[in-house]
Amino acid sequence: MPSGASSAQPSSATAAPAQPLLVATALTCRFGGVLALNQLDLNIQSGELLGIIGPNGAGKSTLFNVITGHVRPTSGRLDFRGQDITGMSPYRVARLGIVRKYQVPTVFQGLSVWQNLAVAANGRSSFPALFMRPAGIREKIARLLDLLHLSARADDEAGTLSHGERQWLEIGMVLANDPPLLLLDEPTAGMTTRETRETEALLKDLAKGHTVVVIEHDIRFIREVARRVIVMHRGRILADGVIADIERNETVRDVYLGRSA
Amino acid sequence: MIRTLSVRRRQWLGLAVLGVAILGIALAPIFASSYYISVLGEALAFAVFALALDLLWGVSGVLSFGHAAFFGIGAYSFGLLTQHLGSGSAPYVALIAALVVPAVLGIALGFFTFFSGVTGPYFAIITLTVALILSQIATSFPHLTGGLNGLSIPGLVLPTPAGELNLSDVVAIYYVGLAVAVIALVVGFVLVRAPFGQALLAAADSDPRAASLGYNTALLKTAVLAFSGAMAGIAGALYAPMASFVNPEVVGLTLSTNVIIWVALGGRGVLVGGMLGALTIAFLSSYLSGTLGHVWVLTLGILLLLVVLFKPSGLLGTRAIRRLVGSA
Repeated sequence: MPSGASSAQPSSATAAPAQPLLVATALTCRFGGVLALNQLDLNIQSGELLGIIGPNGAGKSTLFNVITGHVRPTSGRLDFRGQDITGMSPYRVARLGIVRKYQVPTVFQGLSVWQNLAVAANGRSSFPALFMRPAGIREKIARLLDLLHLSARADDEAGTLSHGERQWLEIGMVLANDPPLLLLDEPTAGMTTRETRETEALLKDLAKGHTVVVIEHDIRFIREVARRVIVMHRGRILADGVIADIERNETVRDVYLGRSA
Repeated sequence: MIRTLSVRRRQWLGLAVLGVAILGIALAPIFASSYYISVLGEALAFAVFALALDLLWGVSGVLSFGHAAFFGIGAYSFGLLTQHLGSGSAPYVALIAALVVPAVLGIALGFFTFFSGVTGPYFAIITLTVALILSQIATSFPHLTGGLNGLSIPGLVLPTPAGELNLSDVVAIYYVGLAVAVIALVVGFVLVRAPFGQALLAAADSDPRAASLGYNTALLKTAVLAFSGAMAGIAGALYAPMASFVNPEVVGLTLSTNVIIWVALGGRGVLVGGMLGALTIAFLSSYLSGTLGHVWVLTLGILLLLVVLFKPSGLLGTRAIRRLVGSA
C-alpha cells in the first residue's frame, strides 16, 4: 500500500520544471482522538496543477488549513521555497506567497465587488503602499471583472451576489492577489454545469502562470484540469499519479470511486 | 453604468450638503451670541473626538469603551505644557505633545491587545479600564494635575505667520476649532478611501479572510488605534483652551460613553455621522438644559431610544451615504 508516496510520480509527462515549491514532511495533525493528518508526505512542484480528491473527512481541508497557518500541525514540517513555514501565522504565509480560496465562499460582504478585488490585490504589498493606490490597479481589476463576468455588478455589495458569483469573486480575489501558489478548496461547489465548465477554462488558463492545488469532489472536473492527482484517505495519501492510473487503482475504487458509483 | 452614475450623483449631493453645513457653521459668529459660539466651539472639539472614535469603531469595527482616555491625555498634555512653558511657541509644542502622547498610548494598547488576539468585548473592557485608571490618576495627584479642581488653562497667544492669534477670544478659537474639524474630516476621508481604510473595512468584515490575503490585521488595527488616539488627543487639546480648564471628567467614563452615543446616533462608519451626532447633542444639551432643565436628559433618552428602534444604523447611516466613504 503506497503510503508516504513522495517519490511515486510515475508519468508526470508534462514538462514541469522539477523544483519542489512546497514540501510537507511527516505532517501530523490530531484533533482530540481524530488523526486528521497522519504522517503525510507531499511534494508540490513549481508550475503544476495538482488535484486532491478523497472522501469527506479524509483531511483535505485540514491539509490546506495547516499549509496556510490556520491550524498548527501536531508534528511534522512544511517548507515553502526552502523556507520552514511550519506554524507560521496565516498573514505571513500569505505574504510569502500562498493564498487560498475557502471551501465556503468567503468574501467581504459589506464591500463592493470592486473593493473586494482591490483589497485582495493589495494584500501582499508593503505597509506604505496602503496609503497610495498602486498604478495600473484599475486596469487590472477591470480585466478581472471582465474575466469573471462581474463587470455589471462592480458597484454592488458582495453580500448581494449569488452563491456561484461569490465563488467566482473569491477565485478572482485570489487571482488579484497573484500569489505563486494558489490553494483552491472546492471552487465549483454549488455551481451549475455551465459555471463549472467556465471555471475549468479559467483554471487551465490560470495554471499557465501559477502553481495551483485544487480540492474537488467532482471527478469529471479533476479529470479535465489536473495533470497529477492525489487521493487522500484518513489523513494519508492513498495514491498519487496521473488521473488514468488513479481511476484504475483498485484501492482507490474501493475507498472512494466505488462508493460514489 | 446607470448605477455608477447615481452613486457619483449621491456623492456630489452629499458633498454639497456638507459644504452648506460647514458654511453655516463658519457664518454662525455673525448672528449668534458669544455664549452660543463658545458652546458650538466646544461641540466642534467633540465632533473631532467623535470622528476619531468613528475611524476606529465605524471603520475597523473595534469598539473602544474608554476613548476619553485619549481625549483626556491630549487635554492634560496640552494643559500641563502650556502651563509650564509659558507663551511664545508653547501652544505648538503642547499641540504636538497632545498628538504624540495619545498616539503612543494607542500603539502600546494595540500591542498588548490586538497582537495577542484580544478584540470585541474584551478590548472594550480593557479600554474602559484604561480610562478609569487615568481618571483615577488625574484625581489622585493634585500637585501635578490639580486633582478634582483640575488645571486652569492660561490665556494663550498663538504666533502665526499672519499675526498673533488670541486663543482666549471666543470667535478666534471657534475658527481654530472649525479649521481643525475640517482638516480632520478631510484627513479621515483620505485615510478611509486609501487602500489602508479599505483594508480595515475588509478586516472588520472578515479578519481571517483579510489575513489570508496577506494583511497583518493586528498591525492595521494598532495603526488605526494610534491614529484615532492622536485625533482624539487633538480634540482634547482643542477643548482645553475653549473650556479654559481641564478636570478629570475629560478622561472619565461619562465622556467615553457620550462619544459612543454621538457616533451611534449620527451613524457609525460615515465619518460625518459622528460629527453630526456630537454637534447636535452637545449643542442641544447646552441649549435645552437651560430651557427644559432635567426634562432634557429624559428627552435625550427618548430620542436615543427612537433612533435605536427605528434607525439602528444611525441618522446618516444608510448604505447610500456609507458609499460616500467606501466607494472608490
